[in-house]
Amino acid sequence: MAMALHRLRRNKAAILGLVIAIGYVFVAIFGPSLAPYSPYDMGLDRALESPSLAHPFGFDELGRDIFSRVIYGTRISFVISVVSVGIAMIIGVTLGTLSGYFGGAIDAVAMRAVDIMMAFPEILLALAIVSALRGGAQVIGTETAIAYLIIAVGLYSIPQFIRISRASVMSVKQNEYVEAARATGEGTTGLILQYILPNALAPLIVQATLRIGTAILTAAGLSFLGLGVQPPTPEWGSMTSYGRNYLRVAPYLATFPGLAIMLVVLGFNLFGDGLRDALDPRLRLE
Amino acid sequence: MMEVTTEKLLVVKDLKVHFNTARGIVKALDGVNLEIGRAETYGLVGETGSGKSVTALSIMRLIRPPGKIMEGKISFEGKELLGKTEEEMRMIRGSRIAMIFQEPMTSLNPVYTVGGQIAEPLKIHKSLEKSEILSKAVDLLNLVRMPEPLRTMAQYPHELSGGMRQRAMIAMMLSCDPSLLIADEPTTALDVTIQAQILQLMRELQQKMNSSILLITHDLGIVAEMCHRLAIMYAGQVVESATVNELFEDPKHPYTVGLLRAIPKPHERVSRLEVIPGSVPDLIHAPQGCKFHPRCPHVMDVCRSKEPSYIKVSEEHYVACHLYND
Repeated sequence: MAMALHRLRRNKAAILGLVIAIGYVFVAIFGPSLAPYSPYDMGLDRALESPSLAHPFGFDELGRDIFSRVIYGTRISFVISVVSVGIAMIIGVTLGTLSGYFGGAIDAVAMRAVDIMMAFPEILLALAIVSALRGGAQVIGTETAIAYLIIAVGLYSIPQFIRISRASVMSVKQNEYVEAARATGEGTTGLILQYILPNALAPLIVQATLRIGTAILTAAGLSFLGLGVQPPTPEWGSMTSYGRNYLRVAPYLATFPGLAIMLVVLGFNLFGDGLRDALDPRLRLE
Repeated sequence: MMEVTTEKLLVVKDLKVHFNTARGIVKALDGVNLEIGRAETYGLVGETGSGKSVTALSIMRLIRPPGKIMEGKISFEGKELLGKTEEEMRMIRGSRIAMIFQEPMTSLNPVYTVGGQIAEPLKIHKSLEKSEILSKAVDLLNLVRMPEPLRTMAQYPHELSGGMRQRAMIAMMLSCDPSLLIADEPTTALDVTIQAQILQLMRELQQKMNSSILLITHDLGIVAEMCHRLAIMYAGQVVESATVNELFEDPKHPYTVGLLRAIPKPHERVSRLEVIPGSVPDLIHAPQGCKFHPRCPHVMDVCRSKEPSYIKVSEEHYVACHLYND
């Protein structure tokens, strides 16, 4: 573990990723106190105004401060990504662990289900889930929209967690300390919770980090396509989508929320990759 | 040496364990018989693949698919183990029968401290207060002569050397005073000086705690030093069993004779070591009759067709070989 930390510290890209991720979490939590203006205050007289010192990202088509809106948007994407990955991890790791530990029929059923889910291109699956949840509704509330996004992004992340935890558990259960624990009279629950899961955790942590980046991207993508959170709620995807119409006259409308998405996803990916390299030095290409 | 009582602690009778593999059925154990007395150290000797470890795991009922105990009897403290439910077996494992594994480097859980792990069997089998468990764990580490028990309690397995880990493992397995300790090649992975220390420790603890040890090894030197009696296994069967003195003085089975001849003797200058010709048979297509006959220097016609039964050579000395039929 100390070795892993040391390796992580030496990886500059991973540290950069970590800094970005921490900054993102910080902004998500303290956003309302950090934002200089209200994200909802409109003023048609200043619509599409260019960035200035007081308003570093400029104004959108309704005269709202883009900088404040991007900051507020952090919180929405944070909630969606963390909650959806959390749900996916709990369900996926539970199923994957049972499947890897017991094998047999449980394993066969779970793996075929995973195959079916993985046969869909990811964004398409999320799109189908959101559409199905929305039914025919044209306008839905922000909370409902967020809940739908969480369900969609969460569901489509489950198969990866099942696969990885299954593989990890299958390799960990071969270890002699599992056999030794069995020889001390440890029961199945104790074996899984105390011996197998803690030792199978490393690749899952890596996967969760990488998955948060993907979840942010997917949630923003769905909002961009009009299936997620709707204006006036400040959400990066929908801001990019609406800003697209003004790309020629006021490129900052779409550019800044787009850059925010890119930066955060990049941060989580760099950190996740660094974490993987640190936890599993065999994979390192040097 | 401690007096061995005649009352049997463990009796294994005609134990057959098969592994169902893609290539066919591997008859890993094909009628194993053992009798271990109370406070006795019993050696189980054989080559790799002769079924020593499978025998040990069968006694613990830890054989997992594709392996299956087909038939036989394992009676322990007068009770039949093969009929017990998994839950009843769990109560026996770690408390009445404990097992030490070959690889001390990998047989401790890397994510918990040594102290926490030693306490684990106590938590499972005894209802004690947390403070009692901790003080018992320190006592156990003292018992196995861990240099700094208090410090070791808080250390993780990777911070300990192989010999210290094996001591920790022994402490963990002795925590509930088992009446039978199975040691599956406990010193194979250790270097020679540590090996001697661990064996010395096991011998002392056995006398102190009055428990029996089933010592699995392929090292006849260790058996000579540690055991009262031993059994020689070949291809899933016990071919000869006797007291240590008798077996080393007067081996009967051609395989045992070959094994003893293969031990290099430091005072004799020889250009080549003695070997037993051939190799261990494939247990899917085991030879007909006596399984040793293709390698046996004294092979007779009857060996090719008929399996030998046990012949009593003397009190405590049994051999499965047609040579000794009247």
